[in-house]
Amino acid sequence: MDSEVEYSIEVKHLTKYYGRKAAIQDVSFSLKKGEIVGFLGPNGSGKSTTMRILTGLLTANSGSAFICGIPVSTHPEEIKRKIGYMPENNPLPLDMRVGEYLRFRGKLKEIYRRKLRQRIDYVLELCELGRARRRVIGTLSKGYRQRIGIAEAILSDPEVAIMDEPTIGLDPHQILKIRDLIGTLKGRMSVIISSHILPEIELTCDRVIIINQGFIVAKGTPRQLRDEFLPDSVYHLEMKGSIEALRAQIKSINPKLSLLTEGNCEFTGLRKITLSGPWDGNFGETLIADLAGQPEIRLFSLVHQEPTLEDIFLAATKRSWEVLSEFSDDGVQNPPSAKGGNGDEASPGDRA
Amino acid sequence: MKHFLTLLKNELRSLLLSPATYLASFFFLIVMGFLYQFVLESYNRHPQELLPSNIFLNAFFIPVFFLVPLLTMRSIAEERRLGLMDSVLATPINSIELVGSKFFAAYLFYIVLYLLTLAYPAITYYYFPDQRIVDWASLTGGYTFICLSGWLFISVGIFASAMARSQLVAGIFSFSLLFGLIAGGKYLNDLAIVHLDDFSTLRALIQYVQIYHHVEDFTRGVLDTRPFFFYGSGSLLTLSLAVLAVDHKT
Repeated sequence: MDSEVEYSIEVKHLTKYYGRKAAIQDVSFSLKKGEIVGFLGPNGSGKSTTMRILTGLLTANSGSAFICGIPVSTHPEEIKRKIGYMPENNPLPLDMRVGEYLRFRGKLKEIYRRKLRQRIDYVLELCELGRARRRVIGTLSKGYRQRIGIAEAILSDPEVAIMDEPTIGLDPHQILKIRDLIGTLKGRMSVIISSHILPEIELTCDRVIIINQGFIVAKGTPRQLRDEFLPDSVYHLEMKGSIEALRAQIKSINPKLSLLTEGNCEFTGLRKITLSGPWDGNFGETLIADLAGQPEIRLFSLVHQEPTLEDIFLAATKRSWEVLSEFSDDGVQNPPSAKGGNGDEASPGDRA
Repeated sequence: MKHFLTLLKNELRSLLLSPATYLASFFFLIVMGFLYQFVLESYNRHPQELLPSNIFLNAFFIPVFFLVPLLTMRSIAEERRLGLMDSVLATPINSIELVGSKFFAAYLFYIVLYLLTLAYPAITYYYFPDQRIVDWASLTGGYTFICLSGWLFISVGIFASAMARSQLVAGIFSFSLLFGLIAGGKYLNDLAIVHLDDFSTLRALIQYVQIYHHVEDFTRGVLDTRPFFFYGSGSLLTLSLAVLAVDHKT
């Protein structure tokens, strides 16, 4: 049956209320087999609620969720055999040794005794925990503990790994290691990761889902989201000379190029200019060539800045807040629709 | 129930590795030792209607009020607070196995601790081999009551822990429930109103839940099936409520 199922995770119109407050509303998305998807959103946006519904720990008020084609609400025990879950804050029993903990969890995950030893050795090696095998978890650093959480989540070689903030509280070196570790899972299992460390998501994930105030506000590849939310790219210039001449020159290169900000550097006395232009055109080379030929302008430096996932995230969440406040001002209850990467509104049955 | 043994082993391992377990055991045995010594001394000073072992076992509520909350308050409430409950319930186990393992681990520990107190009459009997001081038949009945009532008391503790997120709250809740169950039943029985003819059904019900009467019956060698049913069904009911609480509050 599993081989016929296209999606490892399929979520359709999921809604969950805590009392009268909606934690998530009409959330729909799906993950293909072997895909790594980043689940982004500010605190309280509904990320953890969605993940807990996917693990069968919470029940939704309406909508449906499927893991490998199996409905979560009616077959919670069956789907638990197909998932590995690393909860938020990665709770671990601090009095257990690493190997002992993995053996205990392996037995709960119904891994056969003979296979369990091999799997423990494998995940310990993959997560670089071999030397910590006999150490008590409570004596290990945060980085080690996060890796134990990931090792536990992938111990049974699940079809779906759900990781809630796996990089939270780690230093940059540890984040790098966790990123590489998650990267090794690509193609082997479907992984959904929620995180605040946006550059990590951008580097690790195939696609991104952005959720805000319980609604999915954007989904697609980083490139698609960039085109959707921040279609312009930014150039930083350091120069001496006439601003008017610069304005005239950039208009002649492309009418869509515009001057965003201008200022002076206190130390160098150079003008610092920010230009904005369409994402699809790379004007760096043209700008250098044309400005170098202008006697009224002396160009000292030019840097092309691509919008990061952080910029996209801020733009997407800001837009959704604006839309939500408009709706609440008008007294209209309809939620904002998620935009797909191509800018089309995602229809109810739409795949993310 | 294929994960039950794995969970139970883990619970027992946690109990055996925790210093708090040994501390609780030490204080329990000290308190019970003093209690037994006090009973023997009072038996020595004044003539008593009951055997020392009967008086000793009649004071079962003293350790129950304190030992049961201490043993059970951590079991579910602390795991929930730390988030461990989520990661355990995300594996293919069910809440019946989880609650059952916690109940049996605490119950086994409770029974082991009580069995250790058999050392007191054994030591006494070693030096004074007299049936009037140590009556083994009465002790057997009394310890049967301890094993039987332990089902309900430990279940109540587990239920209190399942209802709370803080182990302190769980401990206080457990103490209150046990106090209501043991002392409340006696208080109701002492009320004059229930002894009126119009309240015969209520009186019968209150008599049925008189835990003090049960211990007296058992130590006298009266084995009735009704207490077995009371503690068995009461334990099943509270454990079922604990399972519902785990499912609902996760």
